[in-house]
Amino acid sequence: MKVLSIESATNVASVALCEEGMVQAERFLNIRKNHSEKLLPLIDGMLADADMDAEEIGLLAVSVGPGSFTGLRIGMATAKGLAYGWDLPLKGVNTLDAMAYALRGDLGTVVPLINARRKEAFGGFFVGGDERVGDYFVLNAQSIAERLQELGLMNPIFMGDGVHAIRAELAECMPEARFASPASVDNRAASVGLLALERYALEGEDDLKGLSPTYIRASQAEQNLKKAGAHE
Amino acid sequence: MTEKPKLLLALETSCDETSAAVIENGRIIRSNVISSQIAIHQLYGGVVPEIASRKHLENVLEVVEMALVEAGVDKKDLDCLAVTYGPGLVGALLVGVSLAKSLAYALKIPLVPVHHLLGHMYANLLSHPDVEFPLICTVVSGGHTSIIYWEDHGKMSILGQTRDDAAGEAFDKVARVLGLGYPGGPEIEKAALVGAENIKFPRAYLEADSYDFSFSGLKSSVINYLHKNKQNGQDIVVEDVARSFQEALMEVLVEKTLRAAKEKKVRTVALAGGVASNQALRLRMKERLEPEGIQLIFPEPVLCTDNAAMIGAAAYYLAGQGKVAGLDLNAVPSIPIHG
Repeated sequence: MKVLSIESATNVASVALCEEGMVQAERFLNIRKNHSEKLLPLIDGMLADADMDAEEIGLLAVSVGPGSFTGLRIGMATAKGLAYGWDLPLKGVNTLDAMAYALRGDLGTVVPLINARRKEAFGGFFVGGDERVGDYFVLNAQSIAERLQELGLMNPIFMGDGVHAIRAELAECMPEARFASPASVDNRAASVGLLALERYALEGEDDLKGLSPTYIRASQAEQNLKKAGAHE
Repeated sequence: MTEKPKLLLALETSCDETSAAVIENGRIIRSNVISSQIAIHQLYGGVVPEIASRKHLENVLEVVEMALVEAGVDKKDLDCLAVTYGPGLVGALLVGVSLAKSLAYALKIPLVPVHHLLGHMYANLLSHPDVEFPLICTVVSGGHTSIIYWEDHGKMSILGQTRDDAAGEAFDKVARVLGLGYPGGPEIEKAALVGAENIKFPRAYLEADSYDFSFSGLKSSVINYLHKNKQNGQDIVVEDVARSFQEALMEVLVEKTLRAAKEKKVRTVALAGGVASNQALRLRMKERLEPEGIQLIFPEPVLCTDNAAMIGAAAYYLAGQGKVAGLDLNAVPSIPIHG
């Protein structure tokens, strides 16, 4: 089965076509341009390059975050429109899970990080790039090092755009830290598509209408309302 | 494409309503589903952009499907899509724009981008299909206050607009300081019904020949009035303040609209936008226009709020003019009206 996947959780706008175990086509932009202007032309261009008709696609996949709220919504609205228009199932994949998938087979702990600003990163710990240990988190470098130690996780390798934001801090807290090569540091749609195929086979499709991004952080207004409620 | 679409699906997500409509031949509303988020935003005393964006994404396909089912239309029978691309909350607009683009792409049909205010203007043509151009259209909403000379489809010019707060915005802000809640327009209107106009608030006419508006001075003077009376320990009659404020705001709207109608020698004035559903405004307009032989029209109430049917009505004519979007269409939070 062919899957068309969309990754727009960060500055990266990427789309891919995959079949079991293989990436057939991928387009990738990391130029800080508006995803809204770029995403559909990327898809259209890729399908044309691949001489691919929509009828050959069996699954839509989208990266659901965490990440940039706006980027996630553009990606998900685009995926929903395509899935609905083509009558295809949609599978959402956690962005961090998909990133870790790219380093599956690593002998240590794969730690994908997404820049959450304020010197913090969204992240998760994946043994061998596959099995997640502990919850997803939003932490600074020091707390990430402590959490790794608490969980008894060894030999971390960091990837993702969070590395750009806090690489120096990570290296300082953890002299043993490894960093993915620039060629595989970024989140890509191919990982989203391949992991979506695996999960679709196991779990089936997601609810097309109800599917929502994983925001992790509540909106500022919700945080304020909660705070106000707590003080009453 | 210069052929007008027979069966068009329109989407509107510019603020706090998620709406989808099916429009046949530009005039017949086969469905117009509106999912309002007002109840959520009331918790915060106003629209929270981030929450609006989240809710649009959760609701939009459900609303689209409801519109198709209610219209008894299969999506494969659609020959055109339309979407509001601005102005509005950028995050909210992006949900509609992204979904409309990919759905149109998947269905292999053209997508027409529609200016939100143009939609409000075209709501009048849905309610009054036989109206004849040219018109003066006074657009009064939460984000806009404009007087537009509307000569024909695709031909219009802005005679004047607000230099600061929009009329609806002034309603919301004054409602808030009066403790009347959100949305402010209907609350002020309700309170004003039983109030007396016994406070003289300023009317900002600006330069003698200007069709522009300014409502921030009026808003400040209401706030000052409340502040001063509170300090002096005097009672405040909320209903009287609401009435006096509403009269001050309406007077300028009505007089400038009348002057524009006379200058352009039109026989019809159209009211558009959320505030067009204000009964008092309609009444004042009518009282001033009818003696001059000028007819007043306004959309039915459901078409005054943000809705997709009006976007579809506008798109019908835009499609006829070949105004179709590319795959790179973006949401534009702020953009002057154009036809």
